[in-house]
Amino acid sequence: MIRIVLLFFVISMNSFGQVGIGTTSPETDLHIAGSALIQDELKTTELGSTNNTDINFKLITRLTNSSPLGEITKLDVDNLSVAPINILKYRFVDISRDNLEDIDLSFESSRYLIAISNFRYIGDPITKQNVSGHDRPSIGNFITRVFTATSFSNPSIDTWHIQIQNTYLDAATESDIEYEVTLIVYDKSYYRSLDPIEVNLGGSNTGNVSAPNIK
Amino acid sequence: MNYRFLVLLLIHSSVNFCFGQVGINTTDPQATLDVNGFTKIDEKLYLEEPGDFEEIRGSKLLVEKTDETIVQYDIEASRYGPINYAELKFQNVSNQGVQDYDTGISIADYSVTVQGFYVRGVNGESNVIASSNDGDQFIEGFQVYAHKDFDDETWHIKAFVNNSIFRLGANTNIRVNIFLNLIIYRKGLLTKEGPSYSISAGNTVTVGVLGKPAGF
Repeated sequence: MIRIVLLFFVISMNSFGQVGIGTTSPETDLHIAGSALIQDELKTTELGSTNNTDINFKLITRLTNSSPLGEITKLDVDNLSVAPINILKYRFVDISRDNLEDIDLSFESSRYLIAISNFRYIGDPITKQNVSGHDRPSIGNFITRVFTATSFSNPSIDTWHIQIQNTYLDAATESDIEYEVTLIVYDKSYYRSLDPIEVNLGGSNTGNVSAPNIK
Repeated sequence: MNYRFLVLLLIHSSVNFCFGQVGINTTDPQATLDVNGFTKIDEKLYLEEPGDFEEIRGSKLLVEKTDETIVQYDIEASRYGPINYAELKFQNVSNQGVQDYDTGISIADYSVTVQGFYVRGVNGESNVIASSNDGDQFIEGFQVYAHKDFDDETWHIKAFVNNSIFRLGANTNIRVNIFLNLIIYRKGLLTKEGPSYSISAGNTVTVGVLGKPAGF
């Protein structure tokens, strides 16, 4: 007899036919005044959508390391030490001539993807130099790139490196040159790195290649 | 214990029991628990084995709005996507390039980056060159970037070659078209703007290791 009375207060219904679990005054059709755990599938048929007045909404994620498994949370990027996308501005100063030949940025290539943006070459020019056997001076070869290579600190892994320089010519020793770039650092748990796309143009300057297989 | 729980539910017409399935506001539950209406969960929700889906087409992300409802993220209908792309085309630019342009995009809400660009003559000529004001023997650097303007509180764009003008052959009296690829990230959704770093190469280091920022 006592057991039935306790159950009555765990699950209740109001006069509108609304059911409460853990509450005697449900606010909607089913109101759970506590946590819910669904072992298999959750399906909804009339979920609303965002419109062009909604702002400051957060993405929903499912944790695989919660207890119990599968906690649904908001992705609060401002409180993550590493967000899915991180914008980092780097300014390189006191550069030797124009040369940042190979700087290991230490971001592991197994965990991150990096893109380069907002490039600034601030300061003195490089002087063209004569090339023996040619009647015009050379402008050299200016490269700006981020690339993966063996880590200088831990040769068993690869990290992201940066190179910004004219690889053939050097600025004068007294040159004052600074570089500024904005690195976009993507956390690979959210992004997929595709295989490199290689195409041999066979000496031509046009060609085509198949699109990567993205479903 | 269990059968007494089931007997209690049968008493209420909106809660229905059928073959081990429970329906709320339905007499024909289609699953173990079928709620024909809204559900409110005051605390946490756990999905132990919701299943996997391997195709992005036809899927929508879920978001929680500021009113705490969970809805589909309809990127096309929304004010912004997590990542937004725009090609910014400047036409009839003076031969000094873009010295200052206000995008009107809020620095509080977005991070703006220029991730690609090219320059053409106003009639599409591809043989535009940049020459140094100090003489043909100098190779000047270029700057194509978005930066924060704290007076307007918006992102501004610059796209020019240092101390140079664009020209077509010997003709310096030209205008150019400059095309930029802008990738605009909405802050707080997927993107976090980290600090800015100034790194000294000590006037000597050309090959070396730079540690990651804290937290990475």
